[in-house]
Amino acid sequence: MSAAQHVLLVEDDTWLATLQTETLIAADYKVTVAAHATAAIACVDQHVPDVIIVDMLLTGTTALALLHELQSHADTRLVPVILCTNLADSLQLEELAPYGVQRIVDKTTMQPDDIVAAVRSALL
Amino acid sequence: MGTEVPDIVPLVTPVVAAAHELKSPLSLVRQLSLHLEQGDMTNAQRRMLRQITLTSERALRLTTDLTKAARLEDALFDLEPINPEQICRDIVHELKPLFEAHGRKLDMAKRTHPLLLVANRDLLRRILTNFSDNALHYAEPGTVVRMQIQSLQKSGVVRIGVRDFGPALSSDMWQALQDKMATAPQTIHARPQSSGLGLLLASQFAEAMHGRVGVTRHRDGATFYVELQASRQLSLL
Repeated sequence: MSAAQHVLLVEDDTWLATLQTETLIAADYKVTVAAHATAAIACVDQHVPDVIIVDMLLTGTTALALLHELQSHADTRLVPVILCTNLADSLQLEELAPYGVQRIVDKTTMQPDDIVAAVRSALL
Repeated sequence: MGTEVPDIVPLVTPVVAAAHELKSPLSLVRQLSLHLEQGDMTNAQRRMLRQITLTSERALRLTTDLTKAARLEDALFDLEPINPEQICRDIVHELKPLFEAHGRKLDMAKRTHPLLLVANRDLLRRILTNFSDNALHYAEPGTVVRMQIQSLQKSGVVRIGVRDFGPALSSDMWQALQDKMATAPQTIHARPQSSGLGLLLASQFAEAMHGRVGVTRHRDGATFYVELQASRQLSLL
């Protein structure tokens, strides 16, 4: 039996993070939550995840600063990124692809299982 | 990295900033409700959760419309020939649960010949969703709200209306509405007891597509409509 794939969830809303963590664990993923970009970098330093889910507006910074940092390191630049955000209608996937973003999930319209579908798709 | 950081949140007014801020809690309420709906519960509890979900979705649509309206001048909205029937069908499908939860129905009048108009798909969809949402709250229980597409050939426009069957507007109210529309181009085409915010946004979306919105009074309700330039693409074939 293979080890569970590791999802790093960068989300500063504790309640939403808990909800999404429960959904992902139920789908057999291992989940680490980071509430802001600095905590996310610390998590990545300890263990490079298989996929990163990140909210666009984080406490203290936007996701872009974090993604820019990840893109500048050889061991993290290929980690697929899913942007899970309320700003989906303002964003274009092609503009964010250079940041490693493979999927944009719209928080305002998503169904609970969409986050699992996005992770599966990003890991294909 | 050569990629420019996109201008993601042009917070131009406190209202738009508030709309952005409201999205997070509303999204969370919706997500929590959707999760709870997956569990076991009584019919009454399920009905109330559905109402929480649908209400948060309605509020989210309004906040998204607000942020979209704030970007009308900055963003480019491609105008293209569009058959509005598919958009109407999509809205009927999307809002069906909301109408059913309120004991009303939404449908569209069928057309035998397709019509094309020049519009931005997203903005047109928002206008018509807005009209439907407005109609829902004025339609009598058990009635049908109907979307209708018609060609006004003399003026070269296509009109898409959303007709509700509810209490008639009194003459006084109607006159007040007409006066507002005549004197203020940015008027709020609303009914009494409504701020008319949604319809004001619809009006701005229509203007961004070189169109207009309006309202027709009936003895048993009203039709809110948007008029947009007809596309000549079909006639050129």
